[in-house]
Amino acid sequence: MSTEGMADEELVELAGSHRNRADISGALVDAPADDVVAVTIVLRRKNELPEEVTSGRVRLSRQDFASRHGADPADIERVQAFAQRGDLRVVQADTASRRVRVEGTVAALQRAFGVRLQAVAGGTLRVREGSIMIPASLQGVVVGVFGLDNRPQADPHIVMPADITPAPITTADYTATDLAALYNFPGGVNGSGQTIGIIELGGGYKQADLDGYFSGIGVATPPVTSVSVDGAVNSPGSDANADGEVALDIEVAGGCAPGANVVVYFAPNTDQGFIDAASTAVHNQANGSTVISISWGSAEVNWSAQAMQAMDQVFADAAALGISVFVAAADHGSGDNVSDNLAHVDFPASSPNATGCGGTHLDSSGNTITDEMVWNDNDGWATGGGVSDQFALPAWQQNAGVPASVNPGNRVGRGVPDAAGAADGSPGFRIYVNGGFTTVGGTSGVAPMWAGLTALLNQALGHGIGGLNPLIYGRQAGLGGFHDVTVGNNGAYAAGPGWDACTGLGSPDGNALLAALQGPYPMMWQPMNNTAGFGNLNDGQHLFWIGDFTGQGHAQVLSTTPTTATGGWETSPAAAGSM
Amino acid sequence: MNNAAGFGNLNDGQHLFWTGDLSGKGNAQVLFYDANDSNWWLGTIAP
Repeated sequence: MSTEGMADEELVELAGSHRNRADISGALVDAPADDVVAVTIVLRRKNELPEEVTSGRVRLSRQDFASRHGADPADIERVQAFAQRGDLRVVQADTASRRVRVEGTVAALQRAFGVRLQAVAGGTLRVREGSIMIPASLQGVVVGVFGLDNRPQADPHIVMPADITPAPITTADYTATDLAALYNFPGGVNGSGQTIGIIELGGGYKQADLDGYFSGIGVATPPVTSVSVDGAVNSPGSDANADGEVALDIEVAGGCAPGANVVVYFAPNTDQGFIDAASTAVHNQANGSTVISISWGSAEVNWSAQAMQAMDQVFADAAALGISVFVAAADHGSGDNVSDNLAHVDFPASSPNATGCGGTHLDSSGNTITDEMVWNDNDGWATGGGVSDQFALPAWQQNAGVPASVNPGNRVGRGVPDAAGAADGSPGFRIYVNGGFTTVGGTSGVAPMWAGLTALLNQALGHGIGGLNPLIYGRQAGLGGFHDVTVGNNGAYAAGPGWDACTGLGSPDGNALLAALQGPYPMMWQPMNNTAGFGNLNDGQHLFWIGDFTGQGHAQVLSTTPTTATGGWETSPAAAGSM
Repeated sequence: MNNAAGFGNLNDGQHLFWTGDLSGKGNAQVLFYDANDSNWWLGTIAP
C-alpha cells in the first residue's frame, strides 16, 4: 500500500500501526485542525543487541549502550528533516531511548502521517482508525509513532474491596512484611542503593497515606518521589481504583525493600504515555532505576503491534542495562476480559523481556505457608496467563513445557507468566489509602513484591540482575528459588509440576533464589562450530596455539599442518560463534 | 549439552586445557579437545 502524501513524497504503511475503530460511546467528529498534538516517534537501534546481552551474560554501561544500541544520529537527522518538511517541531530527540518527540497541529500531523484524526465533540479523546503512513525513506527507520490516538490503553490490575468475595477481613490480610516473611526474603539487606521505578497511568498518592502505612507495619517510610511524564502528575483523589493501585505498588515494593528509593512515573493512560513512562524509567539517569514494577496492562488484542514491539524493546534496553522489569499478568483468568471466548494474555506481561507475575491463593499460619494454589475465584476474577499471540517462544523457555495455545491453530508462543505470588483478595493485601487501611487483591500486588525482592537480591549480589527470565529458566533452572504451585487453573490452563500458564515457575523462596543466583553455576559446554576438521592436534606432531590472531574479538586455534607439502599454518575459520 | 559428566577424567595427561576470554564475551571460558568425540569443547560460566 502506498500513496502520495506530504510534498509529493511517497508514503508507505508503517508496519504494525493498524488500529481498529475505538470502542467508545458518542459521535465522532473531525478533530479540531488547529489543536496542537505531541507525538513520540521511536526509531530503530543503531545496532541490534547481541546474544550475550539479551541472554543476560553481559551488561552495558549507559554510555556504551547509547553509542552502540541507541538511535543512529543519521536516523535522527532523517526524522528531523521529515518534521521540518511537514511543519512539525522537534521538541526533543534522545539517542539512548531512540525517541524523537515532535509536535504540530492536527492538520499538519494528518498530512504528515496520512491519517484522519477524530474526536468526541467537546472532549479530549482523539482516535484514528487504520494504519499510519510514513515516507518511504523512513521505512525501517521508524519503529513506531505514538500519540496520534490517545484512547485509554491499560487498566490497573487491582481488585478493589467491593469486588472481593467474601468481604475481606483487614486484620487477616497480608502486609508487605508478612509476605516477605512467608516467602523467605533475605535478611541483612533492605534494598539500600537500589531504586524501584513504578509506572502509573493514573491516580496518585498522599504522603500522609504512605506514612500511615509504613508506620503501621513498623517500617521506616522509604523516600518516594514522583516524575511527570507527558504532562501527567501525581493526582490523588481523581480515580479511586488508580489511587488504590498507586498505594498498593508503593507500599508493597517499599515494604519489601524499605531501604530502596521509590520513584513513581506518572503518565497519561495511552500507548504513548505508557511507552514514554517505561522508557523514561529505564533511561532516566537522574533517578537510575535498578528494578521496575508495572501493574497496568491490557490484552494483547487491545494493542497495536508497533506499540508492543516498542515497549518490548524498552524492556530489552532495561535488561541490557542491568534493570529488572516485573509486570502483573492481570486478573481475569485465561480470557483476560476479552469477550470472544478465546484465550488471551495481557501485555506488557507477555513481553519476553519482562517477568510476568501471576497470582496465587496463599494460606499461612504464622510465618509458615500452609497451602498455595492458583488464584481463581471462579467468578471472573483469576490470575491471567496463557500463550502469547504476539511473541514467539523464547529460547530460554523452550524446555519449560509451555503448551500450545488452546485457541484454534494451537499457536506455540511465549508462555505467561514467569513467576507468581499471593494475589487473591482473600486474605488480600493490606494497604493504606485515602486516610485508612483497606484490603485489595490482584496480580497488581505481585509485581511490586517481586520488584522489592529483586532490590534485596541486587543488594546482596552486588550487581543488578537485569533480565531475570534467562536466569530462572536457564542457568538457575532446577537450583531452587521457587515454590512450585501445582493445584488449580485459570480457566483454559491448569497448574502442574514445573512451569505452568497460571503461576509460571511458582512463588518465590527468596533465600533459595539468592543462593541460586550466587552460584556456583553449572558449567555450560558447547562444541565449537568450525573445528571438526582439526582432529586431535595433541598428537606430538602439531604445534598449536590459542589466541585472537585475527583481531576479530574472539580466539582461534592456530596450528601447523604437517600433512601439507608446505607445512603451512592455518587458523580455525572465523565464523561467528566458532569460539 | 549442559554438563561435562560424559567427559570422564580429563586430567589424564592426554588432554590440554586453556582458559581465557576465548569468545570475547567478557568472561573466561575453558577450552579442550575431546578425542572421544573429535570435538573441541568450550565451557562457560557466567554470573
